[in-house]
Amino acid sequence: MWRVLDHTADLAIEGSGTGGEEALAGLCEGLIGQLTDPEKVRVTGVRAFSASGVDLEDAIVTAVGDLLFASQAERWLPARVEKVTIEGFDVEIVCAGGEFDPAVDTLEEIKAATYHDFFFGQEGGQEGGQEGGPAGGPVEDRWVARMVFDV
Amino acid sequence: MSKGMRVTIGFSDLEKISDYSWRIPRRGAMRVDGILYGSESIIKKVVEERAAEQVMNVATLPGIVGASLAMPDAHWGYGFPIGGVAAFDAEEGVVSPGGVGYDINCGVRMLATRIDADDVVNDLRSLASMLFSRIPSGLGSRGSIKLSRSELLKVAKKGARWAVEQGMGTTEDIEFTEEGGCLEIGDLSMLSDRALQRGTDQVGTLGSGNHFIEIQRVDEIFDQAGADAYGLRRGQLVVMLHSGSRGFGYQICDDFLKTMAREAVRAGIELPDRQLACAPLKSSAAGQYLDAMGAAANYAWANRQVMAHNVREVFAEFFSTSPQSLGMRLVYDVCHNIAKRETHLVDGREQKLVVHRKGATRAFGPGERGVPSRYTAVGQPVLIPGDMGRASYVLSGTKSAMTETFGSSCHGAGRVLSRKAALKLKSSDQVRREMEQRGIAVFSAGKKTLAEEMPEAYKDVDEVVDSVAGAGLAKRVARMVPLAVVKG
Repeated sequence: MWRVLDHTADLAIEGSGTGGEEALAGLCEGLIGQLTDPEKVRVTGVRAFSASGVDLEDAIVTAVGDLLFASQAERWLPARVEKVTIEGFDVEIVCAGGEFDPAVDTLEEIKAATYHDFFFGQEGGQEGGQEGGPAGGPVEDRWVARMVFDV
Repeated sequence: MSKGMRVTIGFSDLEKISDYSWRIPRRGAMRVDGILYGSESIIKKVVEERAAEQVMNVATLPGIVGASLAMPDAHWGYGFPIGGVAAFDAEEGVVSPGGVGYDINCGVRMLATRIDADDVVNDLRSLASMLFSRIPSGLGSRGSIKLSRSELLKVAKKGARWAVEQGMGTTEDIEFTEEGGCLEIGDLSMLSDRALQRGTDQVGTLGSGNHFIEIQRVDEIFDQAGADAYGLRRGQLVVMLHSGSRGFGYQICDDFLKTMAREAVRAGIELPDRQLACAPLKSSAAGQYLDAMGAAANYAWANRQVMAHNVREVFAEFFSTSPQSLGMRLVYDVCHNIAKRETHLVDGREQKLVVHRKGATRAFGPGERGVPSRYTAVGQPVLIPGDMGRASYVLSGTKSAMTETFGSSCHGAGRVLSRKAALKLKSSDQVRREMEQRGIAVFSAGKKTLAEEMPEAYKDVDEVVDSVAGAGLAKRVARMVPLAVVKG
């Protein structure tokens, strides 16, 4: 599940789910939905975007940045997220997709995945997040992954 | 202040210096005061949007000199606010990619013409349509120029000069480009494969988002001496172009944010925000960043030079004459996302600094080094694009900007509505119809661009310019209104 959040200058996307991997998958699905019309992408294969970081935030921002690079620079369009794996500070995002076809596909320009206002953790903000995470309240079994993109 | 601790500030915490300047007194880990420029109503929005908090965060960085500054068009950015200016001592300070932004040397260029706008008003739709078809725009647009890696490195070293050497422009263009369209840089072996890959086919492309080419009419002259020096007159047709370093610059920023995060830890610099990642200017990482950033800045100048050449070619073809006979002279080219080594008077003595301008324009005053000799009596032109429905400005730099803001001014109107909110308000088709009803022809590559870039999404540039002029950071010279718009 994902939603676009209000953000004055750029694009903020929040993914959520019952676990961290589901939340990150939601964030990536949201990014794909902003990049293109996933229904139109002709899926010809899968690509894995893996990253290790000094912390989980670093790994997630790097892996999502790699997914973005594939679309912006290599013209490989993701259509859906197949699998997300998080182990320690290692992240892997596997997407199905295919080559950008200008006759069929649309592609929005998104410059970069950023660290700013990044949040990854359970609602209530006790894990992994920085300032500005979702407001307090009862801790639920709901994970959130939020990222701001420069557009 | 440590990572994760959010500072907060309200309007009542500010000290009023004048009608157009407000102080955030130094507190906590701030090494210097913050100063916000703008009218009371503008500053209330700046505070509301958390940009004032970002000014405070910047004030904590080592070696910052004077004050952490925000221009009247300031709004929330990554680490540094957009509209932020910060100068760091060349020995004790730092350099931060977040203080420059992703689109390194995003900037504005303006071409004058001898054409009276009223004489060609019925031709403008066709003319803009030609510009739209000839100059690649939109998401990840690729140009007709394909560079080998060795040629790309020449672009990165030579900037606008590279384009002129290829026959795309004149030596006069170089004279009227900030820094002569080229920053001196060293070795470029640190550039990543990704950066080089992204740079090979985007020279001469507009890009998307708020990048544009506008055909404008000079609507009002405020300062005749400035207008005479810049070659502007009421009713004149001019062309304004806004673009940057494209994917090449974005990638360099992205690459170095990671490097700088490690360098900040190594140097023991506590960052209130990870996007403020920086390195001491004495470190090799800082030198490498400044070289890589310079390469992107040069790429951006080459990009705008090539596009300006193509604009001239389109005009020449359309009017069946030459660019020279149309008087298509470059008024000036300014960058508004950059860090530059400059020397300024600080407390009465010259100090070597690295001045970060992120969404801020250099505004050097009369007689300053770096101002073209033709403009030395009036100061450099400061090009301020507004939104696509209202107006843009040519201002001139002032002596007081030199003492107050390291010779800096605002860079545009600044967003006031999120893209999401704008999309909810109107569709692109609706915006197009409204613009056309007002007599402004509009072309756009992106489906959502017109809605996202609707005039209501921006502050009123008149109000921003009132604040800049009121604060004495720049002087109004001319106001232009849009006649035809090509958006990315």
